[in-house]
Amino acid sequence: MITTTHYLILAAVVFAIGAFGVLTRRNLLVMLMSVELMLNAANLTFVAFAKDLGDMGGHIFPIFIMTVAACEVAVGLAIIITIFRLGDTSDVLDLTFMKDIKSG
Amino acid sequence: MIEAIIFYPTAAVIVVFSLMVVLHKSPMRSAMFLLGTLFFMAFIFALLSAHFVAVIQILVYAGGIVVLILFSIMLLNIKKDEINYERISNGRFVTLLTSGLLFIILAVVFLTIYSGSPAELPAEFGTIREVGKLMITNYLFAFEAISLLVIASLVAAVVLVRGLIYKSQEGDDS
Repeated sequence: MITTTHYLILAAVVFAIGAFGVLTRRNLLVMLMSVELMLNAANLTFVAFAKDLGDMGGHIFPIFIMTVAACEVAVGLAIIITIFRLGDTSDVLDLTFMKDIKSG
Repeated sequence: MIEAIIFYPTAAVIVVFSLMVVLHKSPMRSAMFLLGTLFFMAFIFALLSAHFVAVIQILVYAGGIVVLILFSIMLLNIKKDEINYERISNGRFVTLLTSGLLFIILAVVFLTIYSGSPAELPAEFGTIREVGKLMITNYLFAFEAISLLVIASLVAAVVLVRGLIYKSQEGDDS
């Protein structure tokens, strides 16, 4: 018998894996993908609780979250491409050229 | 019973694929595993009788976001980052501990919060008709706000990359 708890635990596992990815990976693109994993885990909790409570509001919010995720990826990738053109890297540890900007 | 037969293999595939997203050396492979994860997550949504969310998941994530990520991987030259990749570093153990702790906290919260008495579902639960009706009545304001956000991010993405195009054209002329 699969209960809501099973789905919630799966969401927690995927969220923790995504957090691990954001914290360990140095490539900006893979960090963005890990953020997508975390967002999806949040969606899963929404849908699981929607079924548990019999309230369809939990189906509306995943759709909004997906829209926000799409916007985030579009802007995020534009920023990553800009950074790559400026600094020729997508490694977060190499992103130090902000301190080279002279003031005034 | 049939729910268990679908749930356990799908959940196992999701966990393995999302681990591969995080651990794989090549960002291209990571993106493909991300596609797999999101696709199987749609199975789970369908299992939870969220039909509309499952369809949107495949359309938006697989059709939109992953393709966008794949194209930007192709635009960037990330060979150098693959060389820099180290499977085990000092930070990893601390991070593993942190995310393990995060999982434990989440699991404890979920287990204590959950009452364990599922509600009776109406027959039309999660269908496109019902979800759509709810979206343009109770959640109309959020819906409109989201559409504003989409336009804003579209403009932002174009503005961010447009300056670079002009710059590279000037570089070609000189």
